[in-house]
Amino acid sequence: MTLLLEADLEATLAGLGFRRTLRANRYASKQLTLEIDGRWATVTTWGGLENQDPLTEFVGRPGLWKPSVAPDGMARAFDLWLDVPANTEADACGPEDRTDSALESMLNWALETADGQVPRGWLPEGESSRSELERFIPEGGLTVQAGPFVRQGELICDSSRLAISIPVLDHVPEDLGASRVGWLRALLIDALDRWRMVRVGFAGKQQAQVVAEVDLTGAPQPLIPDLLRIGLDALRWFVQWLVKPAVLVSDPGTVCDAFDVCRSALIHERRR
Amino acid sequence: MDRESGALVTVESPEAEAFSFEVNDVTGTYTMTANDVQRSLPAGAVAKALASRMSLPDTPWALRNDSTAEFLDDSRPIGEQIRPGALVTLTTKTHLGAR
Repeated sequence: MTLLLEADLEATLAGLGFRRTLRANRYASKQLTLEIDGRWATVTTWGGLENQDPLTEFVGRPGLWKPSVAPDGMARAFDLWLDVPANTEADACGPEDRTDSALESMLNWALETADGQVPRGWLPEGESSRSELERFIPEGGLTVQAGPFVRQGELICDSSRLAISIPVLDHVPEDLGASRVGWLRALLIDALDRWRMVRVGFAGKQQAQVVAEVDLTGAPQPLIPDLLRIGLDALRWFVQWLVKPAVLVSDPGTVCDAFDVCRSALIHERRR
Repeated sequence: MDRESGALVTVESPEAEAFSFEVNDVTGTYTMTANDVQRSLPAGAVAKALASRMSLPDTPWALRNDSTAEFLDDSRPIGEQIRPGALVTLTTKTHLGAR
């Protein structure tokens, strides 16, 4: 059902100010780079992130922006889903009464939320109201189990935010120790890089909780149901994958000399 | 009687988002403390996780409140059905059938 054929994609991107670079599947505009990988594209922007903590600065922000940590620095990345159903694209409406393609709508969403603000005038309404959105969450969909660990997520839907959030760790002990905290941080930063759409970080009182979330605030209204389904799936896989090692590292009852002997400042290997 | 997690069961405020309680297996020979359980978790999901923690077989499980002898409703949040520090029993869902 993919509507964005290669020729259409090139034309759409050209119309949005993107030019193909020397690197295959990579385009650049004045502000952003866009890299295509199968049915996904990732928009990336650099700069303005000095001294920001990737695990605290992005949690709760509108949109899918997440930190992308590399050896040469930190960037902000936004994953776009290109496999848009045909009828969704036909219904997408943009500003000034013109019809935007779904790709344009999502790129605009990325641009409008790049500064951490909710797009002006955006509000979950109509089909996007809570009761309507809950129809797209299967029964038990917000409950994630990984063996002996089980977590209950929530759908956040109010006038300023639309997101799904699932706790990974309810409470990180204050006296966990620097080396263990370093291992936990390394685990979370690695998780950020492995999974699309989902971001994870510290939140709550004294930032002692670790939460994973998919934030759809500002998303184009016609795309919200599909993004909600995909985002929930991504989030469920993410939490199932992460919760066991996160508990292992953060549980004071776990005794392992490797946590102290092996430094957590590892060379970060990028994966996709 | 084996006892998992020598942690004391602390009685949290009812407003806390997570709480702890004690769990017996159905034979009463194995007891553990379930710590920091989200109140909003469906009781059925908690039962399944506890069975996994106790290395019990992957069959349907239910929780029974020892103080009331009532089975918890799988679909309702566990925090609405038991109080912090409660003692529950993890038991298999057996249906004896009837003609």
